[in-house]
Amino acid sequence: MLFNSLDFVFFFLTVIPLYFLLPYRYRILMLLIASCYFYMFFVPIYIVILFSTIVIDYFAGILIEKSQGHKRKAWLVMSLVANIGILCYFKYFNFLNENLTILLQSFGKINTIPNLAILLPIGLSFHTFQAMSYTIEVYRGNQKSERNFITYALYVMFFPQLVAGPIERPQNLLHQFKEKHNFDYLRVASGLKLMAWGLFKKVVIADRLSPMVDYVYSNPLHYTGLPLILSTLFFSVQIYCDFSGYSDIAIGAARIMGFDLMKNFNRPYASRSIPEFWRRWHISLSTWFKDYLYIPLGGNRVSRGRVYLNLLFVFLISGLWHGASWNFIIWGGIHGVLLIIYMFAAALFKGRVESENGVLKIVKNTFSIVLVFFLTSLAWIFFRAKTFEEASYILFHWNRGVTGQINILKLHNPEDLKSLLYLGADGRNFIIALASIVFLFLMEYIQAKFAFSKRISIATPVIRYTTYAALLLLILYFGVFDKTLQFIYFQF
Amino acid sequence: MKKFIKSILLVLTLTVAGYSPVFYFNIIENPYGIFTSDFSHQKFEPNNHFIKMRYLLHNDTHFDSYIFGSSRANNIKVENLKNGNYYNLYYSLGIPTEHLNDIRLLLAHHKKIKNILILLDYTAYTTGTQNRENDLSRIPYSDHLIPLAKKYIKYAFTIPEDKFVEDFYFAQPVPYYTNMYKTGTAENKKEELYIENNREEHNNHPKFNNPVEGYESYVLETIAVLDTINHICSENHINLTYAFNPIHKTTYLVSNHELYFAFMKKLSELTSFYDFSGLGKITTNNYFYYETSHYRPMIGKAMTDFIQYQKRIDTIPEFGEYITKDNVDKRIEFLKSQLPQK
Repeated sequence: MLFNSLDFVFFFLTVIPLYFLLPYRYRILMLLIASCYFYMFFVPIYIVILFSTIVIDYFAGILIEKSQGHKRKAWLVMSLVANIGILCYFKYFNFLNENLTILLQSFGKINTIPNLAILLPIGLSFHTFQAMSYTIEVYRGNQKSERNFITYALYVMFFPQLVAGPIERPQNLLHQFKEKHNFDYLRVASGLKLMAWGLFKKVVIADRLSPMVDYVYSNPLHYTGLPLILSTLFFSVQIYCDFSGYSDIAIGAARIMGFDLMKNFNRPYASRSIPEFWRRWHISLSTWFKDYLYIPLGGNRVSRGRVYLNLLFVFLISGLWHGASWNFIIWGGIHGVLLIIYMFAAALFKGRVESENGVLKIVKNTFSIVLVFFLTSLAWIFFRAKTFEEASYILFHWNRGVTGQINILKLHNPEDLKSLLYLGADGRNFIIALASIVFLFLMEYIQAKFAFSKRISIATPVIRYTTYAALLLLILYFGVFDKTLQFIYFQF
Repeated sequence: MKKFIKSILLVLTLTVAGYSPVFYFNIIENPYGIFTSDFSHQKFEPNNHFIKMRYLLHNDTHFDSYIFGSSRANNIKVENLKNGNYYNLYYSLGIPTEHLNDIRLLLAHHKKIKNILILLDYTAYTTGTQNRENDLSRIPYSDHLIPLAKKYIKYAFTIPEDKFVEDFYFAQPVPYYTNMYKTGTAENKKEELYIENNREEHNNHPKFNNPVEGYESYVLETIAVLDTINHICSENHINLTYAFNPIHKTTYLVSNHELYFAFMKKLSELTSFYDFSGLGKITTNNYFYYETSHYRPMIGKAMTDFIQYQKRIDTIPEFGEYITKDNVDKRIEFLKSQLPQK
């Protein structure tokens, strides 16, 4: 079920009143049933896979807690193998098999293993990682095993964050299912506002930019210069609005019911460095990799060379987590390399930076923000392009003949020129897209600097309600409600 | 809780007020006819499919026989059909997949069905259902609460395109759709009168050089659907008749004949049918057509005369043929022989 669909509106308007009207002891069961329904709305049969991992991890958690020494580790390994095995089977089998075919071909051999004709269960990577964090934390002794099966199943299946996160930790979420949440006006209002803001980002910005990005990226070899630059920059905004919009709706929906989910995005495009970007982008995944991969590999306690190597490894795995394709691995690799370069430079210039006055600081910060946005956008090329060849083409042609095609079209066909400049959209759509991007970043800045949302909630009723209604009207008037436009991160 | 409800109501009231221009156009001006039962002031073609099915399913009518088909089927007038109280369920780009759903819905609502006449042409096997739910002029009706609510919400909330609004306000109401609940047919008396009074001008109008084209192939899907319709009709003792519409030569000549003959051949393996297509004195004469897509009711009358009484037009006795699996090859050969040699 998509958050930006009428189905979800009906679903949510049924679940929320039920949740608050039901006696406390039935609420968790009701939420689990609702979550099952939510998940089965996509491909019903995949609930069997999800439930099988839930059963495995539920018992693994109990057995890990009860055991000592090697046995304890063995149960953890069994749980991890089961989770990663299912993930690999559904997500990476065909990728590995195709690479095996290429490898065997280079030796003149034929690979007889056929590819699997299966659909990837929706949100598999998200709920697998959330389930794995449970067994790891139980193993580490940071979390007691959950004995109530319904509570544990809900920890994995809680519908707001089931298919695209935030990837929660058991210490943060599990205990919340045992707490009594009464109807709280301020909390509900805050949740609704966050949901509306998330919906704005998704339907007004991400879904409006989607066809413009597709216009170029469906066949990038036809373009050089400006269209490549513009569509790549638009994709940077699209993926941010798409994913952070989803996270906002998820966090808002959970907040209405009294649950606090972790923050997943914190103005990532305001970052002044790549490490800062990763502290602000998909926070629940970055911290997952930090807690369960980077630190166990040695963290910052090992030699500098080893730190760099570990970082690169973590980012390559992070790329692979996003999708079974070399492009995603390269995307992760680019970020890993950028991070290493930054750390290397930071170590080199440590202590040499002198204090700056106000103007210089602003200029430096602005330059850093623009540079980080530019670098992350370059990396997004590999994330968005269908093949390595297309990504390489874009990377080497975005600065070639920036106006070449435009000059030709200006002479021959003004309509085609318009289409090229507006990335296939009409002028109105293009202007709405640009205006809404400006509005987004402006609002985020105002929110960060002046706590806009808080100020509005204590403003006079006229200002308060008019602002809320204005946001809803912006969504209604400028939203793109197209069922075919799913959330990008659903595929992961 | 009271404070919350008050706040929500206030925000919603302000939002509705801000969105009122859209609501006004969609609900009060009502271009698709969804929010009315009076069609005397309709400016554009309403969503016939939605409105007709809603009417039939939720009202006790005397109808026991139905005509299905695309807009061409509108020119089969129910008063010309005997042995049943017919209702014309035509709608623009009507296709068998949706006819099957409609038949199932009618039966599920215990509506009596004695006869079904399905009119076929290129629309039937070249049009898919993919975009129907997003096409406000063709969204099908649903008898389930939530899907139906979603459809009404779509009609109320969709922002119309500027050009559509402009055209709507410049258009004059047309009295075509006043028989929506009586016969289901749209009456184009003005156009009929114009043709009769301006025969020469009409017959030589350049619009007859413009074919209707640009569809995809759904032959196998459509045949499977028609097979299901046959079974349902057989199980429910419904008298089912198929007929191929006579298509104007301009459109007929540019259509994909391979698809057409394949469809005809496959249909003959399922059932017998009447064929009024091909090049002949009817389909080559502009007088019998409004444009290259729609024949006039006088042709519809000739078709029903042949279907019911095997009565032929004296001057054009070759119009219409009853096709079975035994003579389908001969018919296809004949139709092929009429085509210009490449």
